Amino acid sequence: MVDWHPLKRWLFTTNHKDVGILYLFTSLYFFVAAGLLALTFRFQLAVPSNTFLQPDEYNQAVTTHGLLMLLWVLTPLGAAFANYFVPIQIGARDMAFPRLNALSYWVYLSSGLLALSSFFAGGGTADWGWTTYAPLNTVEFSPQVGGSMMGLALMLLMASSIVSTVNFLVTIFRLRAPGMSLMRLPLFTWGWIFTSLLMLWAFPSFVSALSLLIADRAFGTVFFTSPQGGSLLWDHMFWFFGHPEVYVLLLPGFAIAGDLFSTFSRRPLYAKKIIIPCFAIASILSFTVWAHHMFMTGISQSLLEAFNITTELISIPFAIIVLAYILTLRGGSIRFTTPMLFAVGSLGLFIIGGVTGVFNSSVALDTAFRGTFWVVGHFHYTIVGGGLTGLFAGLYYWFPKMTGRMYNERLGKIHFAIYMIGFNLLYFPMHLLYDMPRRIFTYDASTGWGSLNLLITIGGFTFGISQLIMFANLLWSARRGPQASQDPWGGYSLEWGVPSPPPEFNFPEGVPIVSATGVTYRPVAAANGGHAMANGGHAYAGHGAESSEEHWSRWPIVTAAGAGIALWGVLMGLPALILGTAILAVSFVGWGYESLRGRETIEAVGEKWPFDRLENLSLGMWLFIFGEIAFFGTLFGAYVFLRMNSPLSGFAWPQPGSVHNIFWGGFNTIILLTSGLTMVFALMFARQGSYRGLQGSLVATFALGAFFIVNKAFEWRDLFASGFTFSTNPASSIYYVLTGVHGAHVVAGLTALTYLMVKALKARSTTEAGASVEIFGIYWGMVDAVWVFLFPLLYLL
Amino acid sequence: MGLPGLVPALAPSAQQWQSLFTLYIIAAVIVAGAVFVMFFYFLAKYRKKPGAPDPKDAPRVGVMADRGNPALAAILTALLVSLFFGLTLNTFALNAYLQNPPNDPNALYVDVIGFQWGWRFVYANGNEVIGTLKVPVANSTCTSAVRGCWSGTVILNITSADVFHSFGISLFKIKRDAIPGRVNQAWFIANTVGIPATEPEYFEAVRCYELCGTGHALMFADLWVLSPDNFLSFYTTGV
Repeated sequence: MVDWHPLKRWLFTTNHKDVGILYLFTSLYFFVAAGLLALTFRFQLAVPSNTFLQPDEYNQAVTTHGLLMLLWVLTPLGAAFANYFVPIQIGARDMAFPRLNALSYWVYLSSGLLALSSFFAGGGTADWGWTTYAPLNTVEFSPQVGGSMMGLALMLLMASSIVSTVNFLVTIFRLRAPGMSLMRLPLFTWGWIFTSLLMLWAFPSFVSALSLLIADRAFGTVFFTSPQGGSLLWDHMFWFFGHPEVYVLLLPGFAIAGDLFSTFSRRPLYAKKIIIPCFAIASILSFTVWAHHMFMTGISQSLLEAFNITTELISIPFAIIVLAYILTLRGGSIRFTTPMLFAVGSLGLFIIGGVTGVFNSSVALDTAFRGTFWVVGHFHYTIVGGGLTGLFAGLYYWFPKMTGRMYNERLGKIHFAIYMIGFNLLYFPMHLLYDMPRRIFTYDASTGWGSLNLLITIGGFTFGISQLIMFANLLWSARRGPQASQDPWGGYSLEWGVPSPPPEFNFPEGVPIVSATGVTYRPVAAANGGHAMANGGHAYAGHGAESSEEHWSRWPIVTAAGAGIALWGVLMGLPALILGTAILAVSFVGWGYESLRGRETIEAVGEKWPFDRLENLSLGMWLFIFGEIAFFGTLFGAYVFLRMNSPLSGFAWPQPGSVHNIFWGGFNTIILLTSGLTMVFALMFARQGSYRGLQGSLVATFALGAFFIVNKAFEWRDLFASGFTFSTNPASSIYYVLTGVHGAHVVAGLTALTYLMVKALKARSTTEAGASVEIFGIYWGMVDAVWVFLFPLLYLL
Repeated sequence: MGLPGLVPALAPSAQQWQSLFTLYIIAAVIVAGAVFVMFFYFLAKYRKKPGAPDPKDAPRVGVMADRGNPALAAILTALLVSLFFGLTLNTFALNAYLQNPPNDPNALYVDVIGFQWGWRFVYANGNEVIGTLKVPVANSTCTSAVRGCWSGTVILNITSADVFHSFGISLFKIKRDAIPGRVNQAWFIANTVGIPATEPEYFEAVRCYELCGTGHALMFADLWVLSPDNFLSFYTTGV
C-alpha cells in the first residue's frame, strides 16, 4: 500500500482506515457547507425586517442546513471513526466486506454531490424544512425539480447507510479476536452497534416515506394530496423514522464521551454492565415515542397521554448513563486534556438538552413550545451539544493515533473555550424565544425579539469561527506536529496497543488474544509467501507478508458515479440517465467478475457469539432482510392507515374482486411460490454435488420469476386500461407502489440470479456455488414471503 | 414579547400553563442543579494532583475492570418515575382542560381557516374576517341559565385551505395544527379586554407555527378582545 500512487490509493482503497479518513474529510466539508448556510440565515435574523435573504432563499437555507447536518455530517463523522477504529477495537484486520465498505463511502459522497447540485436545478432546492411536511412537499405546492432531486439524493444516501450498517454489524458480531467478548468491547463500539441497529430499522422506514413522496411527485399517486393520506400519513411515517434518527445522531459522540471519561480519569467506567443495557433500552424505546412530534395534530387524548408517558420513560436510561459517566470520575485522577474537555462539555450540554426534553414530553406544555425556537434550542443542545461535541472530542483523541503526531494542546483548549462560549450564546437564548415561530425569514421590531436574535447570531458566528481554530491546528499538526507516542492517553481499547498510524492490517505482532489481564499477540507465520488463504486460516500475518492486492478495487467508485449520474439524469435529462445506467451495468459486471475470480471476504478467527453458526455473508443477508421487513412493514402500515381513514372521508375502498382479478393474482402467487420451491431444489442439488440439477433449478427459478414479472406487467396494463391508474384513488396508489416495489425486488433478484447462474457454470464444485445459492435463497424467500402478505392484502381483503 | 413568566396571565389557559411550566422549571432546576453540583464537584475534587500516581484499576490496553453498584440504577429509576408521576398528573390535568371545551350554550363558535398566507375567521352568522380575530371578553353574568349573551368561551374549529399550518395564540398558550382535510378544535376564554391599538401584545397575537411556504413569517392576525357591547356591534355589522 505504501508503494501505491496516491490517486490509486485514495480512489480505489478498500482499507477501512483509509475509508475512515475519506469519511472524515468529506463529512467536515459538508459541515462547513451546512454551517455557512446557517450563518446566512442567522445573519438574516440578526435584526428585524432584514432583507439579506429572500423568503424562498431563507427556506432553502434552513431546509438544507438541517438535511446536510443531520444526514451528511453527523452520522458520517461518526462513521469516520467507526470505520477507522471499530475493526481495530474488536481485534480484526478489516471490515467483513471491504469493497462494500468503500462503496458505502463513494455512494455517500455521490449522494451529497447530488444534494448540493439540487441548488442549481432550476427553481431551487427543497425549501420545505428538513421535516418535509405534506402537502407542502407535493408538486402542487412545491413544484421545483430541486426538491425531487433532494429526495433522490436522500434515497441514494439511505442505500449507502443501510449497506454500511449491515457491514458493521456482521464485522462486530463475527470478526472479534479471541477473548474479545461482547462485554469487553469499548463503549464506542457498543454505541456504534446500537447506532447501526437503529439505522437498520429506521432508515428503511424513511425510504418507504420517501418512496411514497417520490411516487406522488413523479407518478401522480395521491398519498399526500388525498384526505385519506395527507398530512398525517407523512407525519406518522416520517417521525417513526425521525425520532430514532435523533438517537442515531446522538449515540456515537455520547459513547465516545464515556470512553474518554474513563481514560482521562484513569478509572474504569462505572457500571458498564448497566450502561450498555441502558443504550439498548433507549434504542428500543426510541421507536415508541414518535407522536410527541404530533402533539398538536388533533390525535386522540389517549394517544397523546400514551406518547407523553413513553417520552418521559426514555429519559430514564439516559439519566442512568449520565449518572454512570459522572460516577466514573469518582476516585480518579482527571487530566483535562482537550479531548477530556470536549467530553465534559458534551455531557454537560447534553444534560441541559435532556432536561428541556422532559418539558417537551408534556403534551400540555407543548401548546407553547410546538413550532417555536424552544424546540430549536432543545435539539441543538442534545444533538450538537451531546453528539457533535462528543465527536470533536473523538477527533482530538484519535488524532495522534491516525497521524502519529500530536496537535497543539493550547490551541485545543482555546478552541474549547470559544466553542463553549459560542455554543451557549447561540443556543441558550432560543429557550427564551418560545413565542417566536421557527423557520420565519423575518420578524417585526414590535415583537421585541430583536435583541435575543442578535445575541444568537453573534453566538453563531463565534461558534462557527471557533471551528477554524481546530481546522488550522489539526491540518498544521498533521504535517508539523511533534511525534506522538503509541499511547499518549493511556487508553484501554486495542488501537492504543498498535503503532500510530496503524500498519495496513492493524496488528503487526499477530492475532490479539484478549483476557482479563490484558492483551497478547499470537504471531501467525505466512506459509505460502503472502497470499491469504481462502479458508481464512491465515487471517493475520507479519508486516509485509500479506497481499495488498486485496485492499483495493475500482468498482466502488465506479458504481457510485454511475448511480449519482443516473439519478441526476432521471430529473435533468435522458443522456445522463443512459450514461449513468450504462456505468452501473459495467460496474455490476466488473464487480461480479472480480468476485468470481476469488476475492474472498475476511474470515472470522475468534469470538462470534451469538452468531457462531452463521457465515458472514449469511448473517449479512439476514440483517439486510431485517431492514427489508422495516421497509415493507412501513408500507403495509401506510396501507392500513389509508384504508382505516377511508370511511371517514367518504371514500369507499374497493371490495375484493371489484377491481383486481383474484384468479390472476392467485395464479401469479403460485408461480412465485413455485420459484421458491425451485430455489430449495437448487440448494439441495448444490449440497448433493449435482451440477445439472443445480443449473436446471436456477434456470427454472429465473424463468418463473421472469414469468411473474411479465404477468404483472400485463395485469398493470389491463388495470390502466380499465381506468385504475396511479392517481385514481388511494387504493390504486398503494396497489401500484406495493406491487411495483415488490416487482423491483423481483427484478433485482433476477439480476443477481444471472450472476449466480454464471457462477454455477464456472464453479469448480457445487459447494462453492452453494454458499452463494444459500444467500440468494434467503433473499428470494423474503421476496416470496412479502408476496404472501401482499396477495391477500391487495386481492382478498 | 417580554421575558417568560413576567407576562400577566390574560386567560385561564395561560395562567394554568404558567403554573405547570413553573412546576417543571422547579423540578428541572433541582434535578439539573443536583447533577451539575455533583459533576463539577467530582471534576474539581478528582483532578490530577501533581506527582500523584494513577489509581490501581486504571485502564490499560485490553483491560477494563468491572466496577459499580447496579442498585443505583434501580434507585435512580424509582426516583425519576416518582418525579414523572407527579409531573405527568399535572400535565394530564391541564391537557384535559385544553382538549375539552366546556359544554357552554353561550359559547362563540368560530371557524378558523389557515391559508397561504393568512387566517380567515368565519362566524356562525356567516360574517368573515381575514387577519383579525375578534372575540368577546369573559362575562361572568352570562351563565348557562341565561340566553342571548356570550359567556366569553370561544371554540375554534381549525382547518387549512391548502397546506399544513399551525394556529397559535402565544398570549393564551393555545395551539392546534391546521391540517387540510381535517378539523381540529381548540378553545379559550379571555379574561380582560384588549385591542392592538392600546395593548401591543394583541398586535399579531395570532401566528402560524408550521412552515407553510414563503409567506409563513407573515401569516398572522390581530387579536381583539371586546366588551359585550362592542362585540355585539362587531358581530352584527361585521365591522
